[in-house]
Amino acid sequence: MLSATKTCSLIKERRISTTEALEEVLGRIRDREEDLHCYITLDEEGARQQAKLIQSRIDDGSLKGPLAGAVVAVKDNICVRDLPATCGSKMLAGFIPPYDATVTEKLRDAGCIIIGKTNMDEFAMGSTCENSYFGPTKNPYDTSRVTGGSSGGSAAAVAAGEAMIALGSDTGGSIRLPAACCGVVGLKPTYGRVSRYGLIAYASGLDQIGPMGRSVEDCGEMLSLLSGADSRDATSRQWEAVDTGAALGRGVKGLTVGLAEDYLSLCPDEEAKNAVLEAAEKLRDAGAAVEHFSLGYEKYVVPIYYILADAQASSNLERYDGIKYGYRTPFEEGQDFGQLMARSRGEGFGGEVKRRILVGSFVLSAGWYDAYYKKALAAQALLRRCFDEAFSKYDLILMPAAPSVAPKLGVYKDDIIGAYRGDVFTVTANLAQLPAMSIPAGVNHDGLPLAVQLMADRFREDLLLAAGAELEKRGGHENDEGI
Amino acid sequence: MRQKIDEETVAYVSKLSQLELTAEEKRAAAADMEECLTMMDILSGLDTRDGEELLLYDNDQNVLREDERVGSDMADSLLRCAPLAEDGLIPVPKTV
Repeated sequence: MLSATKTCSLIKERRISTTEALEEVLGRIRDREEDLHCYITLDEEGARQQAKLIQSRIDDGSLKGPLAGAVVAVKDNICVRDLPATCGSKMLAGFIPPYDATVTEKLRDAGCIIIGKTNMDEFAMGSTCENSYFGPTKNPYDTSRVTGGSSGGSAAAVAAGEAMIALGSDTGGSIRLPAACCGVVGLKPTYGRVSRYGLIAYASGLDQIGPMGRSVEDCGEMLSLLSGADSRDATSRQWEAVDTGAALGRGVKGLTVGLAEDYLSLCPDEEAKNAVLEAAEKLRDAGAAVEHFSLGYEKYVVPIYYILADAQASSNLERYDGIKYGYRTPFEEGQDFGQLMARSRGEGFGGEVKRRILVGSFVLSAGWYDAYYKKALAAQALLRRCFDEAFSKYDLILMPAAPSVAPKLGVYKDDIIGAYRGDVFTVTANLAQLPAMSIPAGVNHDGLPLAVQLMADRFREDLLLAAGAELEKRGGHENDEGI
Repeated sequence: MRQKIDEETVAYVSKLSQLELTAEEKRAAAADMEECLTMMDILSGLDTRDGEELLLYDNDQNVLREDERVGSDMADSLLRCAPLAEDGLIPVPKTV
């Protein structure tokens, strides 16, 4: 199976039909889904109907875009009208949104076929995709390993050919970590680039929707499709659109790249570390000037992130009351309103979600707000200033995407902080509202995917695409066919 | 200086969070919260006097919309989302 844009080119040239392309994906799903569990909801019949309709619109010339006919998987925290949206949680059991997210509307308008909703850590809280009420997704490269999280179902679906391309969401690395673990490209856009209307909120100051694909080009085209201001999301911004074609052909000649050596030194895996150094060499060979530098705050970014994310999550998740939608505990005689709510929440949320709600409520509580939440906001401002200084010297920052290859299932079961610390490379981009991309960088000695991460200044996704395409061209990316 | 998180604190925070926990969950939550907050306490050693609260976005570039009435005839579809609905209403226990 080819990348989404290449497949859509074949559809446009009438060498294959949308239905044939879809059936190829459905065949992969039949072969692999039982082992991998990428999806929470599959909509085979709906997809077949969409494929026919889209083919007719391609035939009559009303659909001409680069992703017309692409089979897309959507993370289960993004609303697709009339398909369940569980967020990987019992708390949202039975919730079928009566509306489309803005990104879903954009997929439909562009002629994408929505095949289903992908598995994820509950409410996007996790780095392994094991915190799903519906069970873990397994890594297509080695089913004894995790996919990374929280958008693990989307990453695995793309890697295994169970979708041509997917949407994920990224609050602290939830697109880039699973992309790294599954050998696909994951792009977290600038905060504000893509509307979050219809994205079920985790931490509103950090959440962003983005693409996961088998090539940099796929992610670039999907980013163009998703971007733009939306009156229904006051944080979305109208910014100059990314010219994907120009960005992909730009190369890196004349660009300056800062390799964040303080973050690189935190990487415990020599092969993951070497992948970053090799990427630096490739960029240098392609004409970029690469310098080592210290970004700073490496000791602080994980605590800053978890204070802010947990606090915002505790507030956002207050809406789950067992009344308006989702899970409601059975009624008991004498039960009052507060008990109904507290019991529904206690029974509906999983362990990691409860932990973050409790910590978030604590850091927002009277007496502790200044010491934790306000302090973290101030530290976030200082981190952002560090990035401003870095981007006054460099066009791009290079660092690891993940501390290691995909870990074995269950490794972090009793090591909460160990799992949190693994987010050190990805949370910085969310805290500074920057665009960042995880790019495959070959495989390790066991054949497991390695990856590197590039970051750019706000709304400079074009530079990520330019450098990502250069790295892709120079090897390391071997998943055009899916595995 | 923060006291070690105990079950009393967990009970207080779970009440704030409207979260009913089992006895076993309360015991585990005390240890888990302590571990998480200890990890976060490292921030107390960071001088943040120069830090300003970061605005989530630039106010002058907000996406604003006209304050106009738009389609709101969604009662039926919203009621279908509720786990329990009867006669166009969502039944709840007595609130007062």
